[in-house]
Order: sequence, then C-alpha cells, then structure tokens
Amino acid sequence: MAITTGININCSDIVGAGGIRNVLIRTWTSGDTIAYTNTSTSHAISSITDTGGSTATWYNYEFKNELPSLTVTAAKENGSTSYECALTFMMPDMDLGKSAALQGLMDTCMMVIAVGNNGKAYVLGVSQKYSNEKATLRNQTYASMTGAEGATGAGINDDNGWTVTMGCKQWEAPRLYSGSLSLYTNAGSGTGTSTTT
Amino acid sequence: MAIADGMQINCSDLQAVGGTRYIAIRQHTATDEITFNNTDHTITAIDEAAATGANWGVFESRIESSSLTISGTNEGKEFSTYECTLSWFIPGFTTAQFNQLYKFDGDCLMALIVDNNDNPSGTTLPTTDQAHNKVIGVSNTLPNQDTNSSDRTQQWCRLQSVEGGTGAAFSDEIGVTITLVATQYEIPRQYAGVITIDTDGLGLATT
Repeated sequence: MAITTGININCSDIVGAGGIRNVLIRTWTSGDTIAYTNTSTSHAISSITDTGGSTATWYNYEFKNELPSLTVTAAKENGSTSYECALTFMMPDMDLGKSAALQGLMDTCMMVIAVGNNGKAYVLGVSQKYSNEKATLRNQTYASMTGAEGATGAGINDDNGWTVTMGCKQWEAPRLYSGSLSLYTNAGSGTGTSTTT
Repeated sequence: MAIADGMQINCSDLQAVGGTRYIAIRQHTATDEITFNNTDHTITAIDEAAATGANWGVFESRIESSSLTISGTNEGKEFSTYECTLSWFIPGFTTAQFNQLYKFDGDCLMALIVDNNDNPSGTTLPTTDQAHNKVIGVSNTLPNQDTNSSDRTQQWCRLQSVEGGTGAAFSDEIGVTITLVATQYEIPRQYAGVITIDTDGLGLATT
C-alpha cells in the first residue's frame, strides 16, 4: 500500500489516558460475520455479529484498576510483518468464580476487545491478512489465553489474584472497533454481557 | 534457449513473503488433458476430459507450517533434475483426517500450491487473484510421447511420508506432517488458467 497521507498529533492525542477500562471476550463461532474497513485513514472493524443475528454477545472480565495493559510488538522479517499482541489483566482474589472463569478460557479460540481509558476499543484475534479463504471461523489468528499466573503473595499487603494474559499473533496491526458497542450495565456474578452490532 | 536479457530485482520482490496460502491436490486420470505453454513456461489448462475443467481438493494446514522446496541438480546433461517437495502439518490426528490422507496412497497426484504473494503489500483483503502459484507433478520435459496421456509421464507427485504422532507431553504437538514429492525435469510451472475456489473453501476447479 503506497503512502498517501501523513499523520497529525492533536491535543486530544496528547491528553489521552493510559490503561484499560474494559475487557470483553467471546468465542469464535461458525456463523460469525466480520465487516472490515480498509482505507488509507481507517484500519478498523465496523461490525461483529453472531449466527443469523444482528449482534454478538461478549462476556466481561473485570480486573483491578491500573494493572491491565495491551502491548503490541511488530517485527519484520523479509516481506512479512507479524504483530504479537498481549493483553494482561489481574483478577484479584483467587476464589471459585475466578478459577471457573479461567477454565472457560483454556480450550477455545477467542476474540477480545480491550477498551482503553482513552475510549478506543482495540480488537485482538480478529484479522483479515492471511485469513482463511472462505470460512472466517477457520482463521488461525484468533486469541488464546497464553498465560495465567496465580499468586497468594506472602505479605499481608501483597496481592492475591490471577494475572491473565490473552495473546494472538497476526499479520496486521490490531484494528479498532468502529461499530456500535453496548457495554454491560449489570454484571452481577459476571452474568452481564456486552454486545457488538 | 538464448539468453537475451538479465533480470531485475525490485522493491516488490524484496517484500515477498514466505509460506503457502493453500494447497490443492488431485489424481491424474487417463482422460486428463493438460495444455502447456512453453514460451511462458506455464500450464494454461488442466481438464479431466476435453474442455471440462478439473476438480481439486483443498487441504488446509496449520498456519505457517506448509512449504514447497525445489532442489535442482545437473550432472552434465542437457537437462536438470528437479526434486519438488511439498510438506504441511495437519493438527489433530483424527480418523476423519486419516481417511482423507489414505486417498494419497498409491496414487499418481498433481499438486497446486498458491503462495501468499498475490496481495499487494499492505493489503489485507483476501484476493481473488491466484496467479502466484506453482504446479508440481505435471511437466512437459521428457514426457510420455502421447501428450494427452499425462498419467503416463511418470513425473507425478506422490506421497513420500506421513510423519507425526501424539507427542508425549500435554503441550506437545499432535498431528502429522505430510510430504509429497515430484521428480521432474523442468522447474515447476505456474497454472495460468482460471482457478475457482468452492464456497466452503475445501475444493476448487481449474478451467
């Protein structure tokens, strides 16, 4: 793709806050439909919907504030540039519910939305470059739980909790979600869900 | 063939990426008709019978696990020998997969390998262009004299090995690496005809 525009840095960019506000996770399903936007000014996903429906359901993983972060590391070898994406968040208190949540993340191919404190929604595990020819489900750049570290700590002031890492390797920069994202309003017992349209 | 020109290497050549986009395989049949273009060193048609096209199976693999290697050697003769080796990894180790692989046993095959370079650099949308391909097991140097009898060229692609297993540790790979080999006396040709992939992505037709 030829370079046709540069980039501005505005005041709003400078004052954007760091950190992650929401972590949303769902499993890829066979009827998922993804709408990509590819222009010189927008590398985005405008819609993620589920089988035959007009929405997709996401589950919310809350965390201890100011600990989650998203890192993206790109490396070019020959003509191929890969992007290693890692989202880390810490769920305090290793209780029954957290353990069950970890079990659910183990053997499934996922997509993740990490909403930053700057209001931007970053999508991991959904990419178009080198995707399957015909079946989106068989795209192999999905997100996985690549690590989970549990610790009780030793001192009374130490943290007790699980630090989870969601990772994916893809061949394009992570896209921002530009469609409609409705965040949960009541996550009692982790049952609240968010939706994308 | 006289050498009239040399060769350029441009930025786009240096941006070429490795790996295969997909692999398609079919059996030679007695009625196959292959049309070669020896000016461009291409194949312009692969038909199961005259002008009927041909159907192929598309075999997916674990991403970044499949490769085509070509080793050419010359022993002072007027031809070189090209060993074309195609291998890919199939994760899973399931009965359904083995049933598909049994179809390779004892068969004379041809393989179409499309690499990842049909997209312009930076483009993410899967392209309908499939021109960046190579065919192994179909060649026109030292063939059977009956040019319509490509099944008797003896330069087919054949199953060389199936290697793999369950692994031992839970984190080991489970699956098999399939290797197909074709020995031919010319560099693999590009298929320059039309390639149409099925709706489910598991088959294609050459016309």
